[in-house]
Amino acid sequence: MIAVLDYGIGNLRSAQKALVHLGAEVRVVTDAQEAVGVTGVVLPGVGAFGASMNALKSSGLDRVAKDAVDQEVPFLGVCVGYQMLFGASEESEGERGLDIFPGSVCKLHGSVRLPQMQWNTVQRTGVSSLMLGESKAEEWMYFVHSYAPVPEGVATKYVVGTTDYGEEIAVAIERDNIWGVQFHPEKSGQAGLELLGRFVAHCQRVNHSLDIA
Amino acid sequence: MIPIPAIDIREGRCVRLLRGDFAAETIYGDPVTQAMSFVKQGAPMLHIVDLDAARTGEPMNESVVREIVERSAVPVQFGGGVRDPQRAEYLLGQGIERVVIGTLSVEDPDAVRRLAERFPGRVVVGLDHKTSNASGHTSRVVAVRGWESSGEVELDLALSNLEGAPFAGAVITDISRDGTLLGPDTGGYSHVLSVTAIPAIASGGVGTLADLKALRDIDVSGRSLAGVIIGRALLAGAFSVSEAVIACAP
Repeated sequence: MIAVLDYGIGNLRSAQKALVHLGAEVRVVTDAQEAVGVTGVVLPGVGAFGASMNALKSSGLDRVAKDAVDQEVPFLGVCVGYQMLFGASEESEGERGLDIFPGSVCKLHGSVRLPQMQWNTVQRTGVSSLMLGESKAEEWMYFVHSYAPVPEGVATKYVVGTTDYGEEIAVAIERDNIWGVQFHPEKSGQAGLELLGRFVAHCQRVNHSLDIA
Repeated sequence: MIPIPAIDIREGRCVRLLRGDFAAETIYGDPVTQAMSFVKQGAPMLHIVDLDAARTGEPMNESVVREIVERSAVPVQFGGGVRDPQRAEYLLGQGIERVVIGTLSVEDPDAVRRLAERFPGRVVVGLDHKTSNASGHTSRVVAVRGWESSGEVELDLALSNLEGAPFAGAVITDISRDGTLLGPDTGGYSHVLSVTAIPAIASGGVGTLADLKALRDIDVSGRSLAGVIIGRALLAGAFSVSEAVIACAP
């Protein structure tokens, strides 16, 4: 059972349907207690970092994200859900993120159109069990964003995918059972579905049930 | 240039009209099945049109559209009857990636520009036009309200009224070719690229892979088409989505 965290920020149906299509059992959770026993957690996100972080905290689902990470229950953050894994964002000064990886989220500063709303290639930059198909050096994925994390210190070692959009952007991170992706795998066609499929398979293989402290 | 398969929906079914004529339709079955098949073959985006809504201004095939949007593993661009900013905003909150606005782009370009400022990269203008050649002079007049009425606005003027706002694109449809498979108006698209900075998307008349390559190769001082909408050619089996993806790649 995979939990998709619903903290009131919008449409989760595509992510949910994609996971179901891949054979996963999915529970859309609005309350931390509903996530007890799940073996995987997906944190979607749209809109601004601060508003998302606020909504996540007031729903109490930030607890689910932190517990999943602590208990090594496979965790996938998508778009702003990926950005929230970091400490802060230029977009919302003063608002703290989940602080799982060192670094902060910055506005894209190449001379490019914002938001980036397009298909772009993701280059594999590290050893990853999730990000790219085994034999692939790059994959096309669909992006919608104006900001992206700039990992610092140890987090730079965990970057497993980058994209060129006026500058090189870290768009995928992986450490143990934690993944984050800036692109939208649920809108990235076959390559995105395959990524989600690897996440589903990984959740089944690890099979750690979440306990809420 | 990305290929964007089109699914036009009328009374719950996938149809193609000939030159926008509601009396000349060909039926191609279930729109959801068709959409899923296009995605499976590698379509990078879908272009979904509610023809009933385009004609009446009222949403008519909402449940079918919603099912496509939720099940599609690629972004969906939607048009048809989106004649006020509130409706556009509602649709953009329902998982639709880009909304195509036709009639209002011509009748109230400032309102559509403001909408694009609020939703950068998510508003597409749809300028559907009829081409005429009178005494050696080509004129392109934009049609509105489900193509059943032609306004007095020339395509170039309609485009210049929209310039400068962060639109995702402008779908330029040549009604006289739409649904004919007779080949696109490549000269017209070169002209469009020379008069607007809005990313241009070709639509109408594509019948062969050679047509796609001709559109792909249009180059006006380094600028080229952002996409091409393909309707009947795919539904009639002239070529497949995967072939189209290869033909559109540089």
